[in-house]
Amino acid sequence: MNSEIPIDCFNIFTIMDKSDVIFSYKGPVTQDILVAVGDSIKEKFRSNDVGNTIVKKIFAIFIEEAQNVLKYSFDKELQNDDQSSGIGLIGVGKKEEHYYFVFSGNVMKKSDVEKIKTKIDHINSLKDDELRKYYKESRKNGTLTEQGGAGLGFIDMARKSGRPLSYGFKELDENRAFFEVLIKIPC
Amino acid sequence: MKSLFINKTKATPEINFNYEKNYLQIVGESYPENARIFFKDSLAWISEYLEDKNRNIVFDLKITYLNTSSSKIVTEILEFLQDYHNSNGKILLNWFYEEDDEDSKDNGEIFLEDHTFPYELIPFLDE
Repeated sequence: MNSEIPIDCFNIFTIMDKSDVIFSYKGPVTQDILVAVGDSIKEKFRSNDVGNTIVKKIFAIFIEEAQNVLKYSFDKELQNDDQSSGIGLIGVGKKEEHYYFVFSGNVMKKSDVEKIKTKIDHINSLKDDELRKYYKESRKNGTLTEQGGAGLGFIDMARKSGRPLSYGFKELDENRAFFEVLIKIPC
Repeated sequence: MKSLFINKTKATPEINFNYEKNYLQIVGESYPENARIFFKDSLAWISEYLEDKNRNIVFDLKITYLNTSSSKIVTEILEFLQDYHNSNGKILLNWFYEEDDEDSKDNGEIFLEDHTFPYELIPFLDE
């Protein structure tokens, strides 16, 4: 009865289901897509009677992670307007009644791994008041990159979530690594 | 000099800089991909506008979400206002924060606490 289809939908579904994923997207993360998805995240959680503080945390962390993929993924796709969008995986989920989570994954340059690792480890080592101070100083003293990056993404995510920020790298070849990050927001 | 008005979109706020009334307002959510590009005209406008130190300005900031790129721009706007105040310019900044978002007030305080121009933190409910 089964006709062969060339991708394993069942497997993809099962992995997502077992991992408590509510929603996930893989592909080029354009500004239009993240606006649309961000919107439906807000609507979905609001209609589930999740409080505004939590909804805004989930939304904010989702936008930061999505814009990180958009700007910094090594895999890019050229869009119609001559701009390129990073390709990656983004999504949200809920672990029982403990926490919501927002995750992302994308390919990056292996030479950037150490820099990101050092940054996140530093953020994870800070106490609340130290993090507040670090955020303030970084916002004041940092400059925007050409792409509009403020270098504040992980600091801001840490302020809005339960630390530590969980992350991992998988080496793909001598030039590339897969970077994944998961941020928990306590219920 | 003319007033500046930019309509709001899903990811960018309404900009309403009224030159005659000395009333400036930014309302909405701000998460453009590149805030430097979106706010380019607004920053240029403010910079020119504040050259005249004899104004009496009311500035309402009612931003319900700022991505980190936009937060850098808001930081720059506040620095412009601080310089204007330091040159004896008159300004009142109203920073509106969401009453039902527990992080919202502290976020406003982080932006404002080191500034010495007159400001108020005002609670409101969105929608």
